[in-house]
Amino acid sequence: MLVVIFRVSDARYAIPCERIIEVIPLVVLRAEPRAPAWVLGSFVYRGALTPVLDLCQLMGGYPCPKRLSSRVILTDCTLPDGSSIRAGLLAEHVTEARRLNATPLSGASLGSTPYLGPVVQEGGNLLQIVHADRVLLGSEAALAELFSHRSLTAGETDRTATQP
Amino acid sequence: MTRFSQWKLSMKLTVLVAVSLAGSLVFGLLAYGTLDTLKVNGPLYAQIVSGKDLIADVLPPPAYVIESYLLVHEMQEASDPAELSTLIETGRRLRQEYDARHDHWARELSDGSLRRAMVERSYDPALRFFEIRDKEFIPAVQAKDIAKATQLLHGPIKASYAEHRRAIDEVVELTAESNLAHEANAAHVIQRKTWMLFMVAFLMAALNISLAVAITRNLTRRISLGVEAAKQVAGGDLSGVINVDGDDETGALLSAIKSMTQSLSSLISRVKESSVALMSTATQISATSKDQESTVKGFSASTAEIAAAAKQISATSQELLRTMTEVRSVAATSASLAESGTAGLGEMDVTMQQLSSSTGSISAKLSVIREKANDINLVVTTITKVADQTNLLSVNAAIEAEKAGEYGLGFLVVAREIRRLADQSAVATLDIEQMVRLMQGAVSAGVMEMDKFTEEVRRGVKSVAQISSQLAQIIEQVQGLSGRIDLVNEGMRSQSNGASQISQAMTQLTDGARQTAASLREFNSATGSLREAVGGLKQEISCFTVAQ
Repeated sequence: MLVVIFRVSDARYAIPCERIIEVIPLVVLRAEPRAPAWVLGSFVYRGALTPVLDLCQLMGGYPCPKRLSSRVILTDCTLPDGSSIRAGLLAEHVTEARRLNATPLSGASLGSTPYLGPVVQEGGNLLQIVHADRVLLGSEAALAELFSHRSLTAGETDRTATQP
Repeated sequence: MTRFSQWKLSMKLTVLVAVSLAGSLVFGLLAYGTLDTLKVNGPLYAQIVSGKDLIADVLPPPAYVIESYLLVHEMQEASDPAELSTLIETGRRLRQEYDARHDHWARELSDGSLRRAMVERSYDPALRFFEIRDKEFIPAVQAKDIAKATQLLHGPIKASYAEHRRAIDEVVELTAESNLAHEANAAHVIQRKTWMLFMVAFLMAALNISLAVAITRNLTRRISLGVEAAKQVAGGDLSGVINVDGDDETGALLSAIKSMTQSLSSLISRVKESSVALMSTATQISATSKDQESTVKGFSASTAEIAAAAKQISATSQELLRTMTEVRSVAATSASLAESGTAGLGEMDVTMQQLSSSTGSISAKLSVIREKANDINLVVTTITKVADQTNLLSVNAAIEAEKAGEYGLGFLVVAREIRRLADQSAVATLDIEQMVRLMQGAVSAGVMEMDKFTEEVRRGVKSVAQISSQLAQIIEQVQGLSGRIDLVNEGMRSQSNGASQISQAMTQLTDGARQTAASLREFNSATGSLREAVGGLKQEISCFTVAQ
């Protein structure tokens, strides 16, 4: 399984590549009014308005530093109502795509966060799988407020935009 | 005259009073005799009055118309016209005379019963009489109208005349009365004036005598006072007191004597005081001159000592002169040393300037190096960006290769290689960056050091300039010192000369002191004779007594 590795406050995480559309450098974003701190803003990706979420804010509770290695991972996220939108996830140290051969470690994980997957030992380090498509399943109320007014149009344009 | 001037003053005054009394007695008797001769009812008065009575008795009175009345009767009886015209002419003249007298008495008489009788009551019938005579009677007579003339004569003319006559009688009576009254009044006045004359004469005599007595007494008293005071002064007693009362000539004489006595007294007392002071002064002078004599003796000893000291000064100043010459040569040497030091400092200054300019060029080169390092930094940034892009590309390539499945396997290897290269280049750029940073730090430190060095060089240049100026000052002062040493030399020489002159002067001074001692001895004897003279003066003055 090929994964893209990133870091949140010294812990290493991996996103499987099947879900990743592209990794792009951080561009200038249009700020989203009345958005929570982990929603950074929107930009136009291939003709469609695409929101960017801060994984550092969401998982570690601190704003992601603006570095060359801080990159946006474009992916399709499933919304609580079952539809999906395209979104960018900003993360630190996104410099490597690696093939994982190890099996996930057994044992119960403490968190009940929907997007956190199993932990894998790779070399001497621990890696936790992050299911990028489930990132938006965590905080329904905020998401509902954020996306209710445009879920349909956004969903429509998304699908049309991703087809090619 | 000599006899008169030898008389006493009281005698002179008595004679004066007696003469004036006799004169006034003679004057009074003469005045009384004259009065007695000329008084009313006196012999002269009686003669004048009888003369007047005679004229009044013989002359027809012009103010009384009796003659005109007589003339009217004559006119009536006249037959010859020539005689008549003469009578008429006489009548006219009489009327003119009457008018003149009437005017006279109208002016002369004062208001009263006499004036009324004379001017009014006697004048009216007289006027009527003349009017009838001239306007009726004379034409009738001329016309030979005897009957009418007679009728007029016995009628109105006679009546007018009778009335006039009555008034005239009254006038005569009144005049006699008033004459009697005037005479009585005059006699009374004369009697009173005579009595007053006697009284005044008696009073004047008494006043004269008393005044003469008072003046005599006053004069003689004051003059005898003055004489007494003058006698006292002549006897040498100046302590008497003189009372001055009055501002007249004798008073002035007394006050003059008094002031004379006072000034004489003060003069004598001052002379006394002065003679005492003179005595003590003479004693002092003699004591002082003795002192001076001893001082002069000491003085000559001192001058000998001073002469010896002056000789010593002369010797010392010559030694000093030699020392100054040595000092002068030392100063010249130090001046030349300072000059060579200045030259060395000038070279050092040039070197420092060169050093300063070379540090400047080093600084410029260092800044060039810094610029180059910045350029390198730019290149490194570019490389970093390229490495980043490459890395991103490799990630995306791996993702795409994974998505392509088995067909992408080879591509995945390529992507991994690309990523490895990118990582290496990133590491290399990191190294370069590190090195450039180090270089920049070194350059900055070098620049700072160079700045410090430049500052120090600048300070060194400044202190060299300071030292140089100080050396110049030293040279200047040393050169000035040589001039001053000349001055000192000159002074020393003149001091030596002066000392020998002082020595000579001291010898002269000793001679002078000897002479002074001799003259002081003479002075002492002179002071002795002065004391004797003052003693004589004191004795002379002691015969004067002065009020204390």
